[in-house]
Amino acid sequence: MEATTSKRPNRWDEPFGDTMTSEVVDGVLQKAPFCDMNRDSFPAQLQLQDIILNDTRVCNFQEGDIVIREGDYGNSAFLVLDGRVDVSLTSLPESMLGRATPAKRGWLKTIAQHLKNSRTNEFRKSANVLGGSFGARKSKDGTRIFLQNVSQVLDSENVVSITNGQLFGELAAFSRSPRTATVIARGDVQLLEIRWQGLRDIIRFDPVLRNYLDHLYRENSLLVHLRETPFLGELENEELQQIADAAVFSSYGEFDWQNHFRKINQTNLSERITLEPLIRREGDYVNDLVLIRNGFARLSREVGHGHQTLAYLGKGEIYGLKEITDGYRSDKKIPFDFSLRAVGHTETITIPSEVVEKIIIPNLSEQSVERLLNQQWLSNLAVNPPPSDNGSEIETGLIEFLGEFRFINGTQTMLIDLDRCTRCDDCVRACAAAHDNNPRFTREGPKFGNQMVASACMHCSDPVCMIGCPTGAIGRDMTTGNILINDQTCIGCSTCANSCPYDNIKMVEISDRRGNPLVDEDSKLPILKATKCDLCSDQHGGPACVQGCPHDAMIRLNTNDATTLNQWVHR
Amino acid sequence: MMRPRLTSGSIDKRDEPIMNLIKFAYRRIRQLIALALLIATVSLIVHQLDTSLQRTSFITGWGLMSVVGLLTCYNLRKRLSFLSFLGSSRSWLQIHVYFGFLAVVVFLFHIGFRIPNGKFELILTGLFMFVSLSGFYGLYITRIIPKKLTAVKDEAVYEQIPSLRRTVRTQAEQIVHSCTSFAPALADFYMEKLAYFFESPRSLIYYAIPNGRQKRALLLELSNMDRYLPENGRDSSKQLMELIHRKDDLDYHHAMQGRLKIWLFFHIAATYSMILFAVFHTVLVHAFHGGI
Repeated sequence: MEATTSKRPNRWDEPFGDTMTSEVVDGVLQKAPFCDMNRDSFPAQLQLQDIILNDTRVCNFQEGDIVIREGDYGNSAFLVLDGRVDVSLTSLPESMLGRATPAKRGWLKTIAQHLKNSRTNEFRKSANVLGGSFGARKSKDGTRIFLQNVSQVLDSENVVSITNGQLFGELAAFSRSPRTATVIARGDVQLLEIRWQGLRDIIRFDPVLRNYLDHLYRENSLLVHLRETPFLGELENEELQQIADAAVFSSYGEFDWQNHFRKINQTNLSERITLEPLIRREGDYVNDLVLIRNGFARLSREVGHGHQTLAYLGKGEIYGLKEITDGYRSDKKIPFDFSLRAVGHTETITIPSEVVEKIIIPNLSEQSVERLLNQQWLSNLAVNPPPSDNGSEIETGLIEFLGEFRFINGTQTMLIDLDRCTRCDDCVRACAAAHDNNPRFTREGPKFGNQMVASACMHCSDPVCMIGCPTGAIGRDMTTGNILINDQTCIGCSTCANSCPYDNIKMVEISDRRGNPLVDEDSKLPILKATKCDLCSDQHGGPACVQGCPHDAMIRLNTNDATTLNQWVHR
Repeated sequence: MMRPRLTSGSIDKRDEPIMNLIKFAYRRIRQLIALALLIATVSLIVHQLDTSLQRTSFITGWGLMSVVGLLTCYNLRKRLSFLSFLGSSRSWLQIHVYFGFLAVVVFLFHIGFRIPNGKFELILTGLFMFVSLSGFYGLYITRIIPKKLTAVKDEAVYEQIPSLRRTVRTQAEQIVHSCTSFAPALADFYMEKLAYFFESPRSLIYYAIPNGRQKRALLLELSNMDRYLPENGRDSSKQLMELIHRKDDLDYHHAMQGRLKIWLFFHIAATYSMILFAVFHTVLVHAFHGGI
């Protein structure tokens, strides 16, 4: 058989920006902090200039342009090359950032809306309604959203300015957490945007930047995170500081996991788990407590020639406390009972066993430790599952299924019990009635046994769709946690739809009242809008789909909520 | 219980709980007890009225009209899905089912447990019986057919089935076209036996009693063809077998999902006819009740 030859894909086949030339790179290398870096510490295959060339891009902003928005997710950091940006220390109103916070409609308004429901698909009064306190303009770097009267908007006393050579946005980029503040360009600004892969490599080989970022992380983020961790809440500040000093932050797996997990699913069943980065191995002695900071980790044990998944640990959950506690009580070294692997991109904070034994266990009451050990397992899917009336457990196949398709990411996953569903589509009709006759999901999707995960937005705990939205139209509602799209500020760039690993965001062509497509004045191409399930945020009574199902066949649930899932499966 | 927490906002602030995850068995027992109590109450009331020599037919008649009115409201609720204050559709269906049983009992009291002798009343009784029986049939198939459909490998949306069938047929034709040169026997077999299966809808008998007889016969014949095929022809034959399975699954979905839709059509159509007759019946009995 003849082999087909092809060029092996390389990391930098697709550079971050197409504007970087060797002259631009040379110019960047002359500026701080790159001019202070020791280029000899970088290996030959990963030279600093190559990283700058391929993993960065120069972006230009004008007065008032929003560089990053509070609450957005991003995978890049910014370095000021020339100019000044202001960081707002106070939260700007959601409406100013281009997001929508829909108010609940009253009954009369609901009836009026239903009477006004359009007969044409995706009717919009107008395609472009950007306005009010912000505007949009096109630049060669893409669409920029700018604030009108930025001086009046920003409170000068609650602003921090960042100037040449200073970095911002690196913590959110690394920790895959929402941006904590809004940053706005003041005057003409030139920034170097560094994607996280490049930043990771620079940090790896430049100790000065590494130490600087580590210091920033420990000072700004780690302590806050530890304080928010429930089982550490009983500790005093001083003790928390000691834990923070000893804690180690690590990340596993690929940041852009959404592009790869389907390929992993094509490998054979026993091989799949071994492809996931190992965080802790079954049988190894426990040296530290693992706290999941972001993402998910798979808890598994070896069975025969493969691995059986027992549970998924999510954000805020811990592994190793039982072993450390047992070891502390028996004065013996206890090995891990299970392996812990990163599912997609997972971040952990590890606390050395000595610190746990010295600071955490003595400061927690016996009841707290016992409660914690029980809670730790209760919050998982299969290990010691919550008691159900018939004593049944969630079967391993379903747990594997939820992990393989990454449905564990969903906080409002639409599950359909096919043994009850009569395929009447009342759910779809109810959804359409609530959304101007446009259904926001399809009753299709992968199934396991009698459970189908329908193609409806799951309002993920790791919302990769939110990365890269140029106008901030897609965002997490601060009060409910739902991921919502502001139709008015969506420019139809498809970034969110392309990023969604579950294809649950649909780009639709909008039309006028007569059904004629709205087209762009310049290109004459149809204008698109991103649409998805919004959990009927503007309606009382919860999602119309669930309310509209006559046969008890549908639920929206947090896939990691073992109790509800178990009850649902064993009704 | 500890849940994965969100950095900004919390899922706990949503409109939860969306669904009361009560076990179906408990719900069934609870509602059957409630129904039994209701029926006992109705029986007692009718008995009391009877013993006091009152005309129970007016009371049971209006009671029946009220129950039928309530049952009909379920359809209205489905059309007004956006009005969440009306309650969830699943609650309405439960009311519909159990009050449906109650309606039959009230109806039997109303006609005095005998078949009416007037032609008009006979038609009305026939319509009521048809609506009731179609309702029970609907309840039965909505609990049985979903499980049968779940057992089929792939799901199919009813409206998409014709297009999916066309895709399967095109794929089958492509396989046959590609192997005509090296496996003419397979092409002949396709033209003789399979083309009709892939191109045509199933018979009415199949829609009445869906079964895998034709599929099994075709698969058997196709597997027997292997002895006349080269190795690559056998690969094509296997692909055709997959498509036979797929086409049969689609036909099964079409027949079963169709049944779930058609019974409802008859149930609703008969309900409206019955209501028209019942209203006319009410007018007549009040017009000719003779002041008693």
